[in-house]
Amino acid sequence: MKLELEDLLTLRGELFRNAPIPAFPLEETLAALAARTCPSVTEVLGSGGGALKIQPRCGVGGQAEMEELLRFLKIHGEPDILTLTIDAYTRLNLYEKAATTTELNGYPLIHHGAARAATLEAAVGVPLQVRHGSPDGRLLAEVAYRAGLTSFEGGGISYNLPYSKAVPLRRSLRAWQYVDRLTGLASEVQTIDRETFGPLTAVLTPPSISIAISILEMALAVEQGVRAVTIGYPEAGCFYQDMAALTAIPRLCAEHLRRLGLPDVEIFTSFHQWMGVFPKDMTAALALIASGVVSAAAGKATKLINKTHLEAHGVPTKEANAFCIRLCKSLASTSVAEQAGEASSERVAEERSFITREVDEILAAVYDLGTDDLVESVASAFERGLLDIPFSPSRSARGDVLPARGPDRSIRYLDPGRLPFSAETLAHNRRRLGARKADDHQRIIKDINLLAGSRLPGLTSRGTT
Amino acid sequence: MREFEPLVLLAVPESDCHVVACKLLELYLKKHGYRVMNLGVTTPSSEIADAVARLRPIAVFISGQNGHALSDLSGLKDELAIRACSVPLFIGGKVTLGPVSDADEVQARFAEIGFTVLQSFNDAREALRKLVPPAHGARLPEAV
Ligand code: B12
Repeated sequence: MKLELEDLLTLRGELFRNAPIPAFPLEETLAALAARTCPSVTEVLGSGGGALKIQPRCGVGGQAEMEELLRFLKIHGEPDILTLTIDAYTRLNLYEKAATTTELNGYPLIHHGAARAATLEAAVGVPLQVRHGSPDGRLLAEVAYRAGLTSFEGGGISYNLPYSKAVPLRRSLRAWQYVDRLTGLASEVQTIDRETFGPLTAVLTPPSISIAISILEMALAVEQGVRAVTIGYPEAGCFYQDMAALTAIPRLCAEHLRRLGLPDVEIFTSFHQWMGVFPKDMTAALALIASGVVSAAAGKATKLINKTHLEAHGVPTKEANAFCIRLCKSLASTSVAEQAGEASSERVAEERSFITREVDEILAAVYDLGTDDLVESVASAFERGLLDIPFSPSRSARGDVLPARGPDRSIRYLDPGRLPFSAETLAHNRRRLGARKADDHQRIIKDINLLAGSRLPGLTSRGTT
Repeated sequence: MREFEPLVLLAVPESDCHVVACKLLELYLKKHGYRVMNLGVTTPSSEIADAVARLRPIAVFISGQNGHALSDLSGLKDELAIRACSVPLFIGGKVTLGPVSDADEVQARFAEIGFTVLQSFNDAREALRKLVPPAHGARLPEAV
């Protein structure tokens, strides 16, 4: 249900009454968005004839340091889009802590405010996206759009269940309904891209869970007037499964928008290079990064969010980040990357039909709970386990689902929990998991760490440096 | 399990959502005979201190991954003092920000807020063994 403008304004009044910053009129936000000179994120995503766009994660606490980081990455990495990665305090609405802590793992946007954030984009001339992980991202969205920024990641499911334990799902869904309504309003003057966080907990996320949840978040956003959506998808680490998933997404999105009676919107895909435990060994890390570029290009992803060879060691240096942006950019223009998608095999087609069926089965069960208030259906589906997220730290997810890798490294459902799968789907998953030797607990730990292992003889997991 | 088997308290700090290492540590310590109470992610220091006062664990283990551990936990010592509690505090994971850190300096900074920094799960078990031997079996740990 679309939030009435009046209701949005009432909620907005409440939000600012409890906020650490003064309220500003919505007209200022619309004026800032209309007055932009830098291309918008959506314009960049739609440009360049389908060439893979590269975007890093990046965020530090200080204003001057943030500007320096963005300048450095622009000059030495030449990314298509840049990021304001927000710190963990701001994400959890602990604004006071964000303002007083000196070493932050991201940019405290609320503390610095819209005017300073706007100077960052102006300084680099590359569009900025705000990426965070906030169960309640209302104030962040307000400040981001007031700064004239045109892309905002997250959703009521994907930015709550992986990121907190105690925020009830209904609360985060309502907070994000606000964000989407605000985005819808802002989209009337400037197309704003809303991206879903498909990786979820990043621990063996099965493709169909990721896609089903992204589709629900897309639908919730479009319902509120959002006109451009990017579907975030996490690399599974199995080439044909990743290619199948990426190529299934556009069709699935269009189909489900139609089923829900929602308008067509622009759909992009965002490929997250491996989001789980990374190799400590930097050569193995670079190999993993390189292979991810090929998967993203083969699956015709719109953009790729890159990792670095320092991933397992801590927040990367700007040098490492710029190096990896360039690495990804140059790999994306090799013939391997450009042509891998043409060599689409029967196996990819088969996998695509399995992923499509799993997503359809999950979503059909959610729609069966009623589609006039999708927020309520989603919340209730999680309570019943019809929707679930493996390894979620949140009390709002049952966590009954257990994924595991098949012999081809594809991610399958070892225990589907209460996901509403048909007998055929379950049989398919069992078949693809193959015979199991190790006991399940040990095997799952092994599967979690599979891509972190170095398979090079003579290199230990401690790495070369 | 018997009442008197030693209880160990686990948590992830207030701003940190990384669940996996803490969960694996829980499974590991349980396997080695300890009772474990895991408070989970995004746990404020006051909640940790309340749990210490209520459950009287023999030690507290924190898994900190997001680089905010120092500022997240700077108030825990005082929170415990208010409740007249004292308990050994240990931390492991990626306890500071950034790829390079001087181990001695890290240890010193955490000592100021009452913590000892450990590297591996095995270190955690060794630390516990020094406090009180586990109830059953001192089998060698399997690597996780
Ligand atoms: C998966 C993951 C996520 C998932 C987490 C899902 C979830 N709910 O758990 C998602 C995608 C949501 C996520 C989010 C973020 N993440 Co993260 N994440 C990771 C990743 C890839 C793996 C972490 C993991 O699960 N490890 C599994 C454990 C078992 O392995 P381990 O970490 O090596 O642990 C071993 C030892 O450290 C030790 N150990 C660990 N804990 C303890 C405790 C004790 C007592 C002892 C003795 C030993 C011990 O033993 C373990 C087993 O050998 C790491 C990078 C990596 N390691 O590859 C980044 C990483 C931890 N994340 C990081 C950050 C910063 C974030 C964010 C803040 C976003 C940002 N600014 O980039 C947000 C978190 C927001 C918040 N509120 O905290 C940084 C931390 C930087 C730092 N400390 O310098 C890392 C290192 C990535 C990076 N290079 O930037 N993340």
